[in-house]
Amino acid sequence: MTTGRKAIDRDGATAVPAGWQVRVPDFVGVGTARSGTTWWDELIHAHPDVHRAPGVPKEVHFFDRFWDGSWTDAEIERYHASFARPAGGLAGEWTPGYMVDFWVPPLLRRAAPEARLLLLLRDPIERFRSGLTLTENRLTLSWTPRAAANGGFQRGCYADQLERLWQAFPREQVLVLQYERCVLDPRAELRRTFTFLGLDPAAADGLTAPERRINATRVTKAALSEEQRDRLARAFAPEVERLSRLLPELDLSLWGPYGGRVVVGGEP
Amino acid sequence: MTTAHRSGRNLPLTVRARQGAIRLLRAARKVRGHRPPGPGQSPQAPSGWVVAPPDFVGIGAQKAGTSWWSALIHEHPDVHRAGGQPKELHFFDGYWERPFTDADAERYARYFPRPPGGIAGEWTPGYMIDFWTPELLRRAAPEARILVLLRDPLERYRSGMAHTDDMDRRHLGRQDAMGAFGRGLYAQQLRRVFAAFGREQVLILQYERCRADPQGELARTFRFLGMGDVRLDPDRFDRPVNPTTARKLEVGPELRAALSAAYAPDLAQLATLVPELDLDLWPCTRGDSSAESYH
Repeated sequence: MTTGRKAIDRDGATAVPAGWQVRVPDFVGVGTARSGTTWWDELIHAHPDVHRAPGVPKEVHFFDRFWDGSWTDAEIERYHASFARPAGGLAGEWTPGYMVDFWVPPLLRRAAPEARLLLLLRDPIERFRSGLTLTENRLTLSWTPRAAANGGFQRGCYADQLERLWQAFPREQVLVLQYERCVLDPRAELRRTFTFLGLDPAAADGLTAPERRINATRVTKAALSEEQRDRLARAFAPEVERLSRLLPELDLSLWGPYGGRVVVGGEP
Repeated sequence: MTTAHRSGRNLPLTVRARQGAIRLLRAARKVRGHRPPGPGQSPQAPSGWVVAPPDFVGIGAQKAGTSWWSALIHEHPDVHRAGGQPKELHFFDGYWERPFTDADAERYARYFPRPPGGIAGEWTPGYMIDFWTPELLRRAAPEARILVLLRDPLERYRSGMAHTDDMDRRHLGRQDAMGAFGRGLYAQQLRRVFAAFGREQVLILQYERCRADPQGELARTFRFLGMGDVRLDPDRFDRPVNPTTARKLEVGPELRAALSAAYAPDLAQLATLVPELDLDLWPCTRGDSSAESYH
C-alpha cells in the first residue's frame, strides 16, 4: 500500500503551526480494524490537551511499507513528523493494521519507545462480518472469497497479535479496550483511556454525545449465514480462549457465542 | 452474504462498475491459465475398483515440500490414484461460501477409486489454512489419516514470497506479507485440526528431517498409513518435484530478526502442542535472531 508514503511525504511538508513542536507520538492506536477505532480516536482528540496538526490523518500507515525489511533508523525517525503539538499537549495516531503486521511492533518500539499503545477489540465474529463489507468492494485482482475469509479470520486472531505486541512493549504500556464496553458506557471507558494517556479524565464528562458514530459502514452490509457464524464461532473458540487467559479482565459475556448473546448498539 | 449483496443491485454505480472491472480482470486471468479453485471432474473408477472416502489426506503446509513427499508416497505399490487426478484436489476451497451437505461428502469420495486392498488419498496444502476446512474434512473423511509436513516458518515465508521477476517483486506488498506470514502460524492452524481429528490420526512431519533421512521418515509415513515399508531407489529421494523456481525473497538480518521474533509465540505454542517436533532444526528458532536484538 502506498498511501502511507504519500501521507507522510505530504505531512512532512505541512507547515507546523507556530509554537508547535514535532516529537515522538505520545500514543499510538495499533488495532483493530472494523472495531470502532475512528469513533474512539475522535473522542480522544476531543480532549483539549490532544492535538493533531492540519493535514495529518487519523491513520498515518507509516509502517505499512516496511514489510520487506527495507528500513533505516533515519527513515524510521521520519515517523515523528506527523506529531506536532503545542507545548504541554499530546499527539498520536491510530492505524488499526499495525497490530496485524508482524514487522510493526519492533519498528514501533524503535520509533516511539515510550508511546502508550491503544487497542480496541471487538467480538471477532462481528469484526469479521464488518470487514467483509469492506473487502468485497476492494479493487484487487488477488481478491477471492477464500482469501478474504482467511484474511478476515487472521485479523481476528487477537491472542497471536497481542503476544507479538507484548514482545516489543511492556504490558503496562498497552491499554486494551473492548468495543462493546465502550458502546455500553462510553464515558467510563473514555475516562479510563484519558487516565491511561496521562490526561485529566474529567474531560470525558463534559463531552456532548460521545455515542456519536463515525465511519459507520455506508455500503450494503455483508451478512453471515447461521452456518458461517457457527463455523467462525468454532474456529475462533481456541483463539478467544487464549485471549481470555492473556487478558483475564476481558468480559466474554459481551462477545456473542462466548458468553451469552448480547446485542450491542449499532453496527460500525 | 445476501443475494442482494452479491448481485449488487443495492450498490452505488461506481462500486458496481468497479466490481464489473474486477470480474473482467478475473476472467482475463482465467484465460491466462490460472486454475479456479475446486477439483475437476471426478474420475471414472476402473472396473473392479472401489470408491470410498480417502485413506489419507495431506492438509499442509504450503511451500514445505509436500509435492515431493506426496510423490514419494505414491511410489508405494499399494497407493493408487485414478488417471489424471492431481496431487491437490482443492475440494473444500469454495465451501466458505457454500453450505456443506452429505451429498458433498459423497462427492468427495468419488475422487478416490482404488483396487481392493489399495489405498488412495490427496494432499492439498491449503486445507490447514482454511479455517472452515478441518471440520468439513472430518465429515467427508472421518477415518482418514491426516498428514502435515512442516518446515522452518522463516524458510516457508521466503518461498511463499517468491516472485518470478522484478516486476512481480514490485507488486508484492503488505497483503502478501501478511498472508505469507499467517500461513506459517502452525500452532494456530493445528489447534483447529486437533479440534476435528484425534492426535493419533494426524502425522506431523518435518521437512528438514525428511531431507536428512528420507528413507526413515518415509518408512514412518508408510507405517502411519498402515502399509509395509518399501525401499525406494535413493535417487528417487533427490528428484525435485515442483520446486520453487521463482526467486525467493531476500531476507536481510533485520527482517530475519523481525520474523523470528514474530513467530516465537506461535512456535512456543507448537512446542507444547506437538512435543515430538525438533524445533532446533529450524534456524528461525535460534537465539541469534531473538527479540532482544531490537530492544
